[in-house]
Amino acid sequence: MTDRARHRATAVVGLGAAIGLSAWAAATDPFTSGADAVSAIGIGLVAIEVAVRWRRPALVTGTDQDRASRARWWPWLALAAALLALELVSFYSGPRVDHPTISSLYDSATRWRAVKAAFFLGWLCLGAALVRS
Amino acid sequence: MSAQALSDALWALLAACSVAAIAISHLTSAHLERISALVRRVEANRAAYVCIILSWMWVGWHFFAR
Repeated sequence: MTDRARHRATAVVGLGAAIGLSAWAAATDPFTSGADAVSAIGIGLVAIEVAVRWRRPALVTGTDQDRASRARWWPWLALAAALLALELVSFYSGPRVDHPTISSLYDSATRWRAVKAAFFLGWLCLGAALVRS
Repeated sequence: MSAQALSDALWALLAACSVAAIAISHLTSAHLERISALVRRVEANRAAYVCIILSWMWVGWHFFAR
């Protein structure tokens, strides 16, 4: 088996496992042992990957460096600051129905199990992207 | 306008701005850095990398377990 084929097989198995974990997570409710277990598995998998890759230097490609030299990053900081400000204002205001936080918006959206599964899968994919970047 | 409508409008506006920024950053002529490149630059600092990973872990635990 070539490296490329092995890499592709690993990606397919990883995606299948992530979808399975997402389906499991969608069937759980917060503050239960099942929710603790499925979240801990996701966190544990990423923690293991971080430990394995720890000694490898970060990969910054030439294209990234070329773009970074001319690209602006401050709009992201402004956007993050605006999100944080609205979250804090909402958190310290009441009632929650008039001033929803990100958590309460998430709770409303995840009344549907499929939405919760999609959020969990997105969280896992983000974790995988962070350790592989 | 009610407080609830204002809050919903502000969250929707920020969500729209986020999606627009992501889309713009992927245009070849854009002068906005992509999130992936930004994260890679931050991750060059090991302490910042650990903070990002811990933040990711906390988000998952907060939303899915607790």
